[in-house]
Amino acid sequence: MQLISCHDGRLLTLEATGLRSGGGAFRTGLEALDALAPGGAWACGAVHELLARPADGKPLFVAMLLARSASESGAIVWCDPHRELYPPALAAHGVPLDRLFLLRLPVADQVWAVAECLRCKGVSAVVAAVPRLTRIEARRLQLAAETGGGIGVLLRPTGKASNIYAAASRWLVSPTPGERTLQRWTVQLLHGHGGRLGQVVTLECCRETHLVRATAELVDRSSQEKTTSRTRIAS
Amino acid sequence: MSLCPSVPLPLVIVHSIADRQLVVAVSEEAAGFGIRRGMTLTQGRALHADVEHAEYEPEKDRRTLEALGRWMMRFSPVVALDVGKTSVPCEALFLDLTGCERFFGGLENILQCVSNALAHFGISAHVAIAPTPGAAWALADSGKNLTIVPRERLESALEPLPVCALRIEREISTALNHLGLCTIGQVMHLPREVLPARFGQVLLRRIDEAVGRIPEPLIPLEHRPPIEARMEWDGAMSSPEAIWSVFQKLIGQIIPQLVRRGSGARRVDVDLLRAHAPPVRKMILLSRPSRDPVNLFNLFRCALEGLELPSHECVSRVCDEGFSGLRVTVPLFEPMGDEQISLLDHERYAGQAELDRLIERLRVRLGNDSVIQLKLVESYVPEEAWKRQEEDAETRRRGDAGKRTEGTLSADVFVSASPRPRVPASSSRPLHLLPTPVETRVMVRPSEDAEGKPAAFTHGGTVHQVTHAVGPERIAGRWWDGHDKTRDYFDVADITGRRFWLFRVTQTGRWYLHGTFE
Repeated sequence: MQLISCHDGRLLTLEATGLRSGGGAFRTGLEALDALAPGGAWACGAVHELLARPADGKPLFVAMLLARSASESGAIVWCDPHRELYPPALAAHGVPLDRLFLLRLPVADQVWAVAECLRCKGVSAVVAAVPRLTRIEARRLQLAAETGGGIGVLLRPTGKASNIYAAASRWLVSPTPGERTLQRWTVQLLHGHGGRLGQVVTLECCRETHLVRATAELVDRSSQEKTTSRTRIAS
Repeated sequence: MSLCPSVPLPLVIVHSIADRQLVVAVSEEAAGFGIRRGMTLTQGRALHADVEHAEYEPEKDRRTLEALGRWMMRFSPVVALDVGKTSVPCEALFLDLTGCERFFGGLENILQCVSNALAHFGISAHVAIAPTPGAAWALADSGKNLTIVPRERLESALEPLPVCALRIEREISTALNHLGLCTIGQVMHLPREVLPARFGQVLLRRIDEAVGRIPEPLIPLEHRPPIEARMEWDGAMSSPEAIWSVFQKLIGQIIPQLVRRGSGARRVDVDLLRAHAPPVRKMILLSRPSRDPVNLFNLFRCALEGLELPSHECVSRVCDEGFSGLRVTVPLFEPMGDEQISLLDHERYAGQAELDRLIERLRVRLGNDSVIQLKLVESYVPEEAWKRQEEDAETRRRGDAGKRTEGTLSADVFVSASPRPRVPASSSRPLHLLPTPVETRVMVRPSEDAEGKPAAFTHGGTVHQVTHAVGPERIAGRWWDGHDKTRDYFDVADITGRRFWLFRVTQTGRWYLHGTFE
């Protein structure tokens, strides 16, 4: 028996979104970004993928946003096989360091480690850069996230290697020109049942105050006119 | 007290009673300055200003003595602490060497081994062997180090020793000295019937014990057998499931031993025995004492998955040979009460306990250093602004207290005592920092000026045009540590919107890329 609901004029089959029992949802606090996600909020107990073009680097900022919002009391586990992460920057953005665990591990063991951490109920967010996944591994990670109740954030490059996935939602993050003290990214939902596909949200982060804002630009392709609505929310 | 710790600096042990600090023991150097027992610390300081002092902790001393006694069980199975029936605090160990000389080839060898061992530990002590404990104590206390007294020369050896070596009360020995009886020989020559009336029964008993007329029973330290279980079988077995089932049986034998001691295991060593090769050892470390069979089994499975064989043996040959036995020992265990979980905190406690188990599993499979917790450190140099937090019982307990009382951070959780170091608010730091800065070619504007801001740079084979450059932020090197290079950091944005963290070394003029703001 499938649960069907009507949301914004579209039919949602809740069986597929992962908002089942044991789930729940969290919000990043940025309305424009949350509005894109399936169901208006990010699903807990699920894997979310952030894709970026290889030339644009890894979308660490958005991963940090998600990890920070998802965890009230649980641990945040970040896989760092190449020793690239800089913890004081995480602390400056407001990630509590006492709940952060860095994993220094060979790349081959990452999938196992992410699955183990997701399965644990004390962990609320796991972040890892996984270049490629087989179908079985992707499904295993999704099941582990459902068991543990936390979220998995996978950073993957766009391209053929990332065609296989089993995530609740997939987003494309790319940098966009900003101002002198503002850094900007565009975030777009690629896959996700019930979410708003094709719409682009611009995230802005002030370098000095670390305040984040989200802007939604409504693009109507047929009439080619842009309306901008700014929603000011400090996170 | 005859024990003088051989420390190279003037050190005294003080006992704080109310406001006064009385000196209880002095080191040789401090004694050289004239400091004696019974003085106050102030008097000692007046004699020598630089004297160091440490607090007198009799409980800790007793525990250390007990640990030393257990170590000495390698020479004799019967080791007793000197309980000190008198008011004199005694720091002595009795070893009953009856029959042990056969294993060591004579009493002289045992004496040499014991004194070598004590010298190795840095403990200065007097060692003496005699037929009775009382005589041995008397000889050691009187400074006759490294003597062996056989039965026939016992009484003659005891005669010249002072009376206080008999372990009697201070009043009795003072009274004897007043009467002119200074040595044991003089007391022994007195008629026996006179002594009890004047000095009490104790003196007579001590003399008889020292000479050997009445036995002096010792209360030995209880021998604590190691916790271990072992199973061997004929032939070789290499299938993981079979090894798991053997491990479960052995765990079933080990857990009652832990329960009997009221403890949980902190470290479990698993040895996979092989017929023609040294055993393969896997060590499992636990962050909390545990005797949960399911937990130990899971950890063992993780350990077995990450099995590393010695490099000179190829995997197939070992699997053909298989293992012929399994031995499980628990070298480290801690007292563990039954866990009581309050109803309110149940979920959070369960989550925390699960998290601990997860960390243990990750450490077993990936290595101890692979799971890192961090703390911030005050430092100008960016790459040293954080470091690994050492996990120990103190931080774990503080972390638990912080988590159980409230869900938010409490300042106690940070290990550093100073206020929490923050990144200065005006500057920002990149999330992605390269482990070592990479040299890049940068074009500056204006191009002749060495102090200019970057206009374009090359990275990853492409040229990035710079649209905004924020800086310079000057971070001076730690010249006192030998890092004398000053860096000017620039936060640059290229036309696509990516931001990079570049710096120029002022002394050499070279540019480096240190990180990206992703």
